[in-house]
Amino acid sequence: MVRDDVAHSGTMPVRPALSVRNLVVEFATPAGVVRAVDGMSYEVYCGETLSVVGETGSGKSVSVLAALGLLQTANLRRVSGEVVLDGVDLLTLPQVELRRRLGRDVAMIFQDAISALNPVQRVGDQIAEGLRVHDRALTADAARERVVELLEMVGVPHPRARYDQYPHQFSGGMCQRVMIAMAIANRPKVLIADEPTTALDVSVQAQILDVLRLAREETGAGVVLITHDLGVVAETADRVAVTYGGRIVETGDVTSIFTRPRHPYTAALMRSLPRLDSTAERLLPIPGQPPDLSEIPPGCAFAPRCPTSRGREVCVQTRPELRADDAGNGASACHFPDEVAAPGAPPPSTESAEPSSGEAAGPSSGEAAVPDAEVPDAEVPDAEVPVLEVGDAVSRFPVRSGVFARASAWVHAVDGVSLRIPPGGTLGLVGESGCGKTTLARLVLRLVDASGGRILVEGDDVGRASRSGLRRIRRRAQMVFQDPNGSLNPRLTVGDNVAEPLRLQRLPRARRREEVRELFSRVGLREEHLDRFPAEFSGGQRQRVAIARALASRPRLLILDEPVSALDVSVQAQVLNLLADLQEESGMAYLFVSHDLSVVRQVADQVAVMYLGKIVESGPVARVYDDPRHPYTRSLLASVPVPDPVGRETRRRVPLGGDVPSPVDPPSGCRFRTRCPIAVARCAEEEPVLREVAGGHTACHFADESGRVSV
Amino acid sequence: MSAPRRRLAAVRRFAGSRSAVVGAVGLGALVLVAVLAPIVAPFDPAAQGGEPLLGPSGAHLLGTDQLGRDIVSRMIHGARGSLIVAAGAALVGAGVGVPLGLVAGYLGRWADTIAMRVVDLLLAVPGILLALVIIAVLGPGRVNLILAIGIGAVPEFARLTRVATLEVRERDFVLAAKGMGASTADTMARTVLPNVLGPIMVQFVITASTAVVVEAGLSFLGLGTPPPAPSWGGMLQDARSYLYQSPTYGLFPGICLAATVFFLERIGRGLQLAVGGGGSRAGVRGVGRGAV
Repeated sequence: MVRDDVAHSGTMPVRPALSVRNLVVEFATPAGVVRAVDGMSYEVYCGETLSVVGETGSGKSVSVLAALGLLQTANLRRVSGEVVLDGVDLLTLPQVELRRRLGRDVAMIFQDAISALNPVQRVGDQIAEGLRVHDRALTADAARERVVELLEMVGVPHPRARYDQYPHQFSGGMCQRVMIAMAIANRPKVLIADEPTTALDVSVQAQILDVLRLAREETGAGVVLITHDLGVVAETADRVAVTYGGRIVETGDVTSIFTRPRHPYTAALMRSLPRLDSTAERLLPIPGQPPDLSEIPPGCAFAPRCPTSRGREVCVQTRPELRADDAGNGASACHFPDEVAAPGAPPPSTESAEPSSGEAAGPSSGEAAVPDAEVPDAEVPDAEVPVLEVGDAVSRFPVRSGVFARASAWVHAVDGVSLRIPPGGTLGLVGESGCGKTTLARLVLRLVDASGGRILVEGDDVGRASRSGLRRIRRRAQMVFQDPNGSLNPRLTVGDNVAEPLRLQRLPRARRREEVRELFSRVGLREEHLDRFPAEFSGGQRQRVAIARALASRPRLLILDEPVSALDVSVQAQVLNLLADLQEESGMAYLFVSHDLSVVRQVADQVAVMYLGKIVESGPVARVYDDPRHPYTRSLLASVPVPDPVGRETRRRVPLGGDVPSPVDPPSGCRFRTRCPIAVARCAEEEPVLREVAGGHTACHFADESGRVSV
Repeated sequence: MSAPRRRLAAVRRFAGSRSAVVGAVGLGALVLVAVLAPIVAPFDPAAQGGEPLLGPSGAHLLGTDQLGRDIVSRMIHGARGSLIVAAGAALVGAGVGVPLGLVAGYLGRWADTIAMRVVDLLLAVPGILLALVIIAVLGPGRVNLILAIGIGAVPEFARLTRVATLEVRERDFVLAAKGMGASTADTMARTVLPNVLGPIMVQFVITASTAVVVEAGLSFLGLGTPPPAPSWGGMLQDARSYLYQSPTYGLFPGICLAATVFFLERIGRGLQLAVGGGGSRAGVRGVGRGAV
């Protein structure tokens, strides 16, 4: 096929596969007209991956949905511009014509594959349907053959048998593979993937990114990869378009974007990323909040947060247009693109200039690592009562089935976990979804009842506490939830939300108000906003409110359950810094639960890695990250995409195969053995105990043989 | 302590829908007339002595009834009865049904089973029959009328509240309240209740409009407001006997009834739109009588 030739020859074809020109999308809202996409232009050529990267509300997803006519909300006011596919402007096509092209010439892969599949139709039939809609001549048998071929290609094992299964019999990762198979079924010219791996665990994400690469090679399509994850961009993209406030602020090839960003937003975004390979003393967040799209300023949308602008008149007055740089390998919408990478910029820009270097954080990272290395054992501060001590905690849930809802099996969400946190310490608890980390966090406050084991908060047994005793414990240990939208009472003002714990302690109203003011200033919120409702705040601000509320009862332990994973990168750094400051001020201990290994490295001094309800490895950060002895930890670390395109071809990535087994029926012996690259017969028979290895604890038979473990 | 901006937004949305404004203005006028009845009414509603069964004329705008009483005055005073019964019945229904549903939904298990079986029992008897039985036992009278209609409305409130509670219960902020050391009662009253109030408000208005009709129906059967106190339903019943002599007699109470129900309906719609975006997504229409 012609387009395969183009892709493989490597020469730049003359005509782009898809070109979006001057796209404008507007919505009518009660607050006025919101211009979600404000004149975006980009093009993607056959065989290349263009990554559109930006934060929530930057217009990246809306732009493609509008371009393909898939936006059908009632308040859509205007879509204008040009979307040229194969010489035809999609925006001018009648619905019927457009539908004929969707799925044939251009296909989409959605974030949530599980809900994008029809739950009551066989998986294979769903793919076959896509084939036969566009090719009426195809017989049922031929379609079936082709579908089996496709499933095989995207790595679905036993494709012939899986053809007849339903989506609920597939895991999240497998569903995404099916979506990809469906998307490439008609060999489209353009593949649009909207956050295809965001809902997946890192180990599965690595697999899916590989499949996506394979799909591109197989079809020769141009891929538009929409994502917020700079690591994913660096691993997969050829070219990058950075969006901010509904516009594209910078484009360029992936290497120059990462090494010599020419827009201050791009540079700032990279500085604010926590890194897996080192700990910075402090992250460098982008100050302020993302722009409000209903009132876009006349000048540059980034100007209020920009370190390069320094309040210069032109930035505030005139909107910068996207201009190609002299070398011709990129364009930047900044008045001063040459100042961006300049080392003299206000924030220490050592990192922005060379984000790949490990010494980016300078001597500070060394300092941070040293004390950890010197105190390898949690047992050293024995004189103090640990803030949290968990001994052999077990939590199991019945799986009910049958007419009488009898427990037919048990899910061991947490299965014999022990850990301790000294005063002022931070324990990072990492693991993939379903490993039991959230259940463990909830056990601490007895929001979930433990089935066994002991949990002590400052020496008080949570499980045996009386009603009032438990209430006292819950004051000393507070929780911050993942989703700040859900964890604040929407019917109370933020001030009242923060005052809730104080009200429960029967503090008089006037005192409450006073305390809330103080808490607001501690977490960096403005007192004037006290009387607003949570819905009026952005995610980052809401998480600050949630933190303020947790601080209200002056806890000694803060349980942070994925506190930043719902936040954008630039805001995430603000919140992480806030948490670090608060800990320094008050000496609180943190139990920091997260799936994000880079974030945990940044905040924690001790780490515990969980897999299927058990801790497989724990120890000081430096030990676990730099000298991991458990094959699971190793694979996990290897799966995290590195936000640095340099040397990605040679980087050794060993994605973990398969999915996490069901906790209802965990594998015998070592639970990880089904996915372990070094498993032997012994692993199936004998369960490895968590034992001391090289200054940390590892539950693997081969933890000592560090040579063998290196996968 | 709170400047209720969010509530203001809901009020704006409510005021933005024309049908809601029509309903609110209409109902407002009715309430005003009912409150000022002794002042606005041209005659004493119980005063007999005029010529019976007159048609509309200058002296008696809508004519007189079989005892020569002024129909306009009787209707104005009758509005009081209808509105008091409507509001009272809705209050009784909500007052019993909401706590019942809240407890059932939040505590679950045996509390849920017991509460819902009680509700099923109430639902097994048709509303009008239930009211008939209650009045037969308690005897007629305005308070008993309110109780009778109100108890019939309990199941709807209970089910609606229960469904909304089931949804809100799983949200993180309820878990957060528990994590702060809030007691179960406090969590229910302070955290869950405000978040299920939206659909309950809508149901309140719908119940009030049903109560107006049921009250008229019971009065029509002679079990409502006891004479000589005027009530729309009672007037309708009286008018039935004189349909041929004075066709306009029954027309106006009927129009008033329909208008009141219409206004309440409109307000209900407006409320539904205004609070729809709030804490709970459980819609009123989602839980009909047949819902389990």
